[in-house]
Amino acid sequence: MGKGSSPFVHVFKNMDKFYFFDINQHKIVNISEESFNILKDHQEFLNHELYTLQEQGFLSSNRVKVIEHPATEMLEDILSNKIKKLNLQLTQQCNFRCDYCVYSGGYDNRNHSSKRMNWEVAKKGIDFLIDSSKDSSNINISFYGGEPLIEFELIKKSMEYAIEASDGKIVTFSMTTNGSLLNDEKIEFFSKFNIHLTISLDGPRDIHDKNRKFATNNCGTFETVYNNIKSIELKYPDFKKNIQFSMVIDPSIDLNCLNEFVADEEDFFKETAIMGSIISDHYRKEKVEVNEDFISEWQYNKFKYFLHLFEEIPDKNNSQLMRSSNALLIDFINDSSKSYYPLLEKSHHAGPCIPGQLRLFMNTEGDFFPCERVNENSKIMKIGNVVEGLNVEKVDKLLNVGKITEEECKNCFAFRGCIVCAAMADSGDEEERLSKELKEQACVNARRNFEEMLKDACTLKDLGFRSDMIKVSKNY
Amino acid sequence: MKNDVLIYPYDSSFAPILRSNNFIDKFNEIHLCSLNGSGLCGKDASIADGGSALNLVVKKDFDALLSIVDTVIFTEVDSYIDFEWSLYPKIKMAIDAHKKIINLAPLSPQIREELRINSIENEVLFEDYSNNPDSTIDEINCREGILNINTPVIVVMGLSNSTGKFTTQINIKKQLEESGYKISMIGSRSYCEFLGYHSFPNFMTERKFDDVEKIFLFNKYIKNIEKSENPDVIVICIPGGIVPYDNKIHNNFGITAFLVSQAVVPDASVLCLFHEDFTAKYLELIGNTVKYRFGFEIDAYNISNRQIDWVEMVNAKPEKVRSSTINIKLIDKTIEKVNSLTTVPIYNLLSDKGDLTEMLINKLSENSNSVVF
Repeated sequence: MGKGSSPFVHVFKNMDKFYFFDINQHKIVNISEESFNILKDHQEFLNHELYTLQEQGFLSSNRVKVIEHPATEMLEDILSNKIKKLNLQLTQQCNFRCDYCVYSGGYDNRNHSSKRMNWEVAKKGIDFLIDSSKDSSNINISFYGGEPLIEFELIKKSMEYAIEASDGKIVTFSMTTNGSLLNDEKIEFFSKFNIHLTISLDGPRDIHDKNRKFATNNCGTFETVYNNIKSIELKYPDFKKNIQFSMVIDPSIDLNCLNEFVADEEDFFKETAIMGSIISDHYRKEKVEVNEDFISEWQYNKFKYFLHLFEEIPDKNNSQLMRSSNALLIDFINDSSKSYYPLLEKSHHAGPCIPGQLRLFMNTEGDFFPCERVNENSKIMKIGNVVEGLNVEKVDKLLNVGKITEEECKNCFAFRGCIVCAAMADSGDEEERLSKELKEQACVNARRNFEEMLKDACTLKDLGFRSDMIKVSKNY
Repeated sequence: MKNDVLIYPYDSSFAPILRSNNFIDKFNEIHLCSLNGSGLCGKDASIADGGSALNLVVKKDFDALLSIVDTVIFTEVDSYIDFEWSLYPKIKMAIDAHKKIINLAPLSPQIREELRINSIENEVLFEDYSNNPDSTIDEINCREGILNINTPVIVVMGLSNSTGKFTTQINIKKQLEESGYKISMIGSRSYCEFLGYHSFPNFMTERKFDDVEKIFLFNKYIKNIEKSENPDVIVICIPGGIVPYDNKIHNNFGITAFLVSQAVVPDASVLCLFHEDFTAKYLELIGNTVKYRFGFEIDAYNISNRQIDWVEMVNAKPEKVRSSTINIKLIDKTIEKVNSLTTVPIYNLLSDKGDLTEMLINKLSENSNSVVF
């Protein structure tokens, strides 16, 4: 049977059981070993079990015929009427020098510099957002750096102007900060607005200070940041819920220490989310070192997270960090009762958001990028500027990143569970093109992670887990 | 003498009215003012609904515009509005400036009363259409049974809110009238009396009647209109949606549409849909839903130039369906594609392609030709 006419399923084994994942139905089906072998070997013969499943609508050979994102023909409309967020890079300066920071020289993205955004550029950016968001009732303005709080006066002016200029919309603000410059004056000002702060805190003193140091004296920053947050907790308890923590996990550390810190500081982390992420390899000049202990600790913590899902261990002993890393698994289980339409003739794999719509990033000079995570030096990632607006052709190219691996995508079992976007196919070179080679590497990881997720779902199901056991909370 | 009028706060909710000659002909000059964050200021009014150019620029300086008009129309909006901050002070300002007020925006009974008294004190004419007048109905007499409506009835409904029912009803009325027909229309909004037709009657949402009583009441209500107005065609536009969007956005489970469908048998029906990448299976499912839930076939689809924002619906889980405006060129392309997927004709009223009203007239003519008694 040819690839295109065979059932569009992915077969896999988990523990001692056999399964296929049906891409059209977006469902995992437990089958016999015989059926598994028939599908694995692409045999034309269907046994009774497979025939019955086919009668029920499974095992369709339907595949996408053309890789094109469904928003492609509406791009101009969306970019003119439905932008939702603007992330302002207020400065490239920072009072920290973190070893893993994209600005600290270890990455191709950017370097710290003295570049600052001036008020005219910030105002034009806010006007652009309002002018391009007729269909968005909620908009978000975000402040980014370097360290954005170095430019507190610009933040104040921007927030006050945005509120005044956006009657008819609900405006929210957010900021990613290292937390060292937070003080009473700033919190009192922020308390008047709907602002959410993401503060970088990598763990207990030893772990945090390993990478996060003051620029002036190379000393650790833990104490300053921790005390500032403690002060907010004491003086502005209502504001504490507006804070979430970003933990960049260095895979050379002892993960258990990190988990113990989160568990021991229960009050400190109460009502706040912790977003954990491993130091990014993307755009990095040298590979991130991972030790074997870290991997086994990570797996052990994942096991503990599963026990927590079954309420076998209390919240306190469960790693909050594991919750965000398993969000896709929980979403998959949560949505398992939904019925899915078969794949459309023209479609695009999951992963890319519409560049410029959801996380538009504007650097100090007013240039536009899809989000704050991409390489500012990459020509293909520069999708416009605040004077000329967004370049729809360039956005189209980034949105339809699947076109560079069109045939692979049409037959990929992770089509609906993919997380690959254009940034992962950006080599950052001078030429305005996406790299097929980089995309394929990202595809391998995406497929591996998706299959792992399918297996985790099977394991949980085997142990008696049901979607109604998921706690109705972001902190599942 | 015709007045100069200011419409505030202008947005997509008012655009269909602005496209109606009946409205434009009433005034000398029309000025539009929008909330400064609407994304419409400084642009042509057509940006609001994505239709053809209206050649009226939306402005944001309410105070300056107020000084040059005689009348201010305060409207309801599709977007978010802070009543205390953006609407109430402006109405007070217009009353103080002795302008004639026409209010279409929803007001609480207390505010309505306060503004009414304030207007009397300032000797200002305050026409308030926000509170749908109670329809005169007789005591319910179920023994009378369902009364036959002898006048052809067109029903306009939508799969959900924001699918363009209002644009559709205004258009059908305008075109039928231009073709020489006398129309009685029951609109889907609460201020339709301002536009010269009936608003959807309040009793359909009142708790004091049960569903069976509402069916009889609505039937009687239409019969009364038939008797008193003697129209050639009755157009009924059903508010809300006909099916739940999901477990949270329930669209009243389509109950209003069901009640109407039991009270009146339509001779023609139009279903308004969001723009989508339609498949034959999807359209068949919708057709069957209407057929088996309400008991009649869909005679035409009207595709709105709005598409559901799936990303926002999944990620933000908002309280109502969120959508985005899309261009007419894409709609035309979709209509061309969908025509090969279903035998039910497809239209978009902002586009020039096809004539929905002509199709409806033909359909009603077919009915009257084929029935002998």
